[in-house]
Amino acid sequence: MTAHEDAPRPALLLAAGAVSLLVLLPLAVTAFNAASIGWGRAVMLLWRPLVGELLVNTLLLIACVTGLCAVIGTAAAWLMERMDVPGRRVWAPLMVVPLSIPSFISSYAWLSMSSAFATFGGALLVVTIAYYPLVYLPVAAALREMDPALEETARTLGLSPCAIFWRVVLPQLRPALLGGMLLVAANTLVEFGAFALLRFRTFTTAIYALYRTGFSGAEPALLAMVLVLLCIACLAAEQLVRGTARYGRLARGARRSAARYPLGRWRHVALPGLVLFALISTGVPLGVIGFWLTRANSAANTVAGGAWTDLLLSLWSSVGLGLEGAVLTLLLALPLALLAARHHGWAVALVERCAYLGQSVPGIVVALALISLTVHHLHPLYQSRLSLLFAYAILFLPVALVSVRAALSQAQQRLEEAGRTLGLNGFAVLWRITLPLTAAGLGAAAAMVFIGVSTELTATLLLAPIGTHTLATQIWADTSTIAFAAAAPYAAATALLSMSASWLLAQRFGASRVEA
Amino acid sequence: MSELNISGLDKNFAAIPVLRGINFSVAAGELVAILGASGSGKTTLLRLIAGFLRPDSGTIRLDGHLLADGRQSLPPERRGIGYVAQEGALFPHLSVAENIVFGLPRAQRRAKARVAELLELVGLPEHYANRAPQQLSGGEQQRVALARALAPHPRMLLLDEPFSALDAGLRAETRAAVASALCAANATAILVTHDQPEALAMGSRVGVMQRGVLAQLSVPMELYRRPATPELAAFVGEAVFLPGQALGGSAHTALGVFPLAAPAALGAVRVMLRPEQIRLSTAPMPEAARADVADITYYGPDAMVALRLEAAEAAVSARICGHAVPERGGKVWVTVEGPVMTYPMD
Repeated sequence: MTAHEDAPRPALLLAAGAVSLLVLLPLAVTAFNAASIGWGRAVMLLWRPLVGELLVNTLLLIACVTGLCAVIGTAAAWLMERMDVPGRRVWAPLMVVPLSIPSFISSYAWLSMSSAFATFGGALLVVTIAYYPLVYLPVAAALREMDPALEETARTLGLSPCAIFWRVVLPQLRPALLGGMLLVAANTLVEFGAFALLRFRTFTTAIYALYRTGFSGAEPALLAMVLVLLCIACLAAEQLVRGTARYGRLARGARRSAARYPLGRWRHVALPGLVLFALISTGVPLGVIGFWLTRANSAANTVAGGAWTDLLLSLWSSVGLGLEGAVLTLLLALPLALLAARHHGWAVALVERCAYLGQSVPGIVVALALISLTVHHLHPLYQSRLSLLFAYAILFLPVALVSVRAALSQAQQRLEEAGRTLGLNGFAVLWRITLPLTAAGLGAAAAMVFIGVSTELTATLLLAPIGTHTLATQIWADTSTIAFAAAAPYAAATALLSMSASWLLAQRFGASRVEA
Repeated sequence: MSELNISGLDKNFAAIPVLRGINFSVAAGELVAILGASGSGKTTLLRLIAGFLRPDSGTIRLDGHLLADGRQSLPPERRGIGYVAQEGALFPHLSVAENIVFGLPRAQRRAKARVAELLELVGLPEHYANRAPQQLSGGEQQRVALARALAPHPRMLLLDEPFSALDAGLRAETRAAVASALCAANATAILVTHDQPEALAMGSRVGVMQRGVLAQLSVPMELYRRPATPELAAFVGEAVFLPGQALGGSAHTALGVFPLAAPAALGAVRVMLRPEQIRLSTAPMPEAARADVADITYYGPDAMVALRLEAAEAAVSARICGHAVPERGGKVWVTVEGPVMTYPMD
């Protein structure tokens, strides 16, 4: 495989190496800070009821969320892909809308209805609704990809549709299902905003609390290391599932699309169920925001006169950060993606692994590490826009990398070689072959990073320069002081921004890219 | 094994007729090959028999029991009809043995009942039982798919282009293995294919589907020698058409006078013969027509020779043995062996 390729150019290898070191920087800083505590004190700090409570809270919640997401995600995917649900064209997009509503927004919505949601149950509800699409999307894709001849053959061998689900379909969904569940677990592990608003204590909120109450960098860093290790375990398991358990399709020929089973008497359960589910997952968060918008001027916590300018300023700074973050992230992702798509070998593998490891560092850990680094060693960058942008780049690099790499492998080297033999020079090849082939993928990557950055809460809260307020930080501030009506315009703007950008992304670049 | 009866079968997709008035029977233990170009409706016919689709009208009966008509349709899992899909459709998460016992009751699945017997039947070694489907070649996958379909003792078998994804060498070998397994199991079977030699070689009878109609159903030799229409003649194999006159039991053409394969009305006719009926000689022959060799396509064992007849300004092609190929541009003398088919002029 490597016999026919030149070694990567040193400049490319160097750039990619630098990016992967940057990605690993927060992890290194955190590990260094944690290590400065010393072994004895570290054991003492970790062997406390607080840590035990956090572990139980976090793990119990993860277990429940993951299980619920698996059931809901698979059931929804089965309904959409294999049953003749009336109005599927409407339902199917609705199923993924929750993914484009930031979880702290729905957290705000539920909490503003009743403080009863500031419990384990509330946290479970919010996070399950926010993350079940991570199961739904891969499972639905797997159902679509599955060879219908398998199910047909099983029927001719005497199996009922129900038996076919258990004996043929489910075993083949396993990689997609397990992969999705582990993604849900990893996301729940690093979730900060939703839990902080609901005052549910997990590792992320505890780390934040420690930092705010003025503890030195060492103690939060120690907890952060525990969190990072849990994340690494999750992602390693996910990689394992993805790597080993993928059943390639045996057949390669053309195939027809799968038949749908009639709903039959389940119609009376499935339809009301779908309506109820859409109400809970999308209707309630958006409805509550709408409710508070109409109350803006009646409650004690009104939006004062300058509200509109404040709102526009926050929107402007969210969008601005989103655009700058997308550009920087894409620039950093390019050398890594180019290396991974075009070359093989140990150096390439090492660089790739480093970038991958960076994915396991939660936003709160990245933010605290950058604060610690800039305060002590790079003071001019402390609370600067640049350090915030780098935090974004580190956090969203994995997202961008997947898309950019896929785009670059579309522009296969042999196509560029064909261009060369047709008399094009390097620039012409880039302009007439590579760019047209990769534009959609690069655009998708940029759009995804933009959505992520413009609605990001954790890193923004900790790293934003004094006086920079984004939509997310405004919601945070108002909700923390129970000024629900004041937060409503910001929540509405955030939801609108995220949902319209996601919609554009899906329209412009196709569902498959969003799913990747 | 059982007998299949189909009568008056119609099927439309979105008001476009795909099958029209299909009638035929398959006797117990018989293998009928259904031959057709893509879009001719042959796969739809197979899927109606399997129960994946419901007919609009007409009936499908197995041993006299109704499987489907315009109103009701027994679901596929209750028909007891085995099915071998185009590329086998082995379950990728199960081993070869687990695939074979898939359709058996739980106790027999546990015991891996019949695995050794069925592997032997389809000509695969016993140690294949524990392999994963991914480790098998395309032909071996097809044989396992056949073993899996045979395991629950189906009342009949449907084979949906089972060899089309295989390359030439593997295809012949797999075809032979499947044919002998079907014969040993005394299976009633329908094989759908778009490959003429495959249909002629495997079917005890061959049916040709054209535009949703079963155009002819006969034993292979009958189909090849006496196709019902010129179109069928050209579809089943290569055909040479010449204008001629039918006179008292023989056909008069530019190539000579030939006996008729089937009775014909007197007068002007289209005469059809197969290229391999034509013999060429480089030495002058008194009764033979003279022709110029226009082109030669050489295949090794045989060759196709394009000829231009001197007398009639007509082009014909001949299939001749590969060891006696004439020179391009040379003169040859043309004779014809065996009877010819005639069709009324359009």
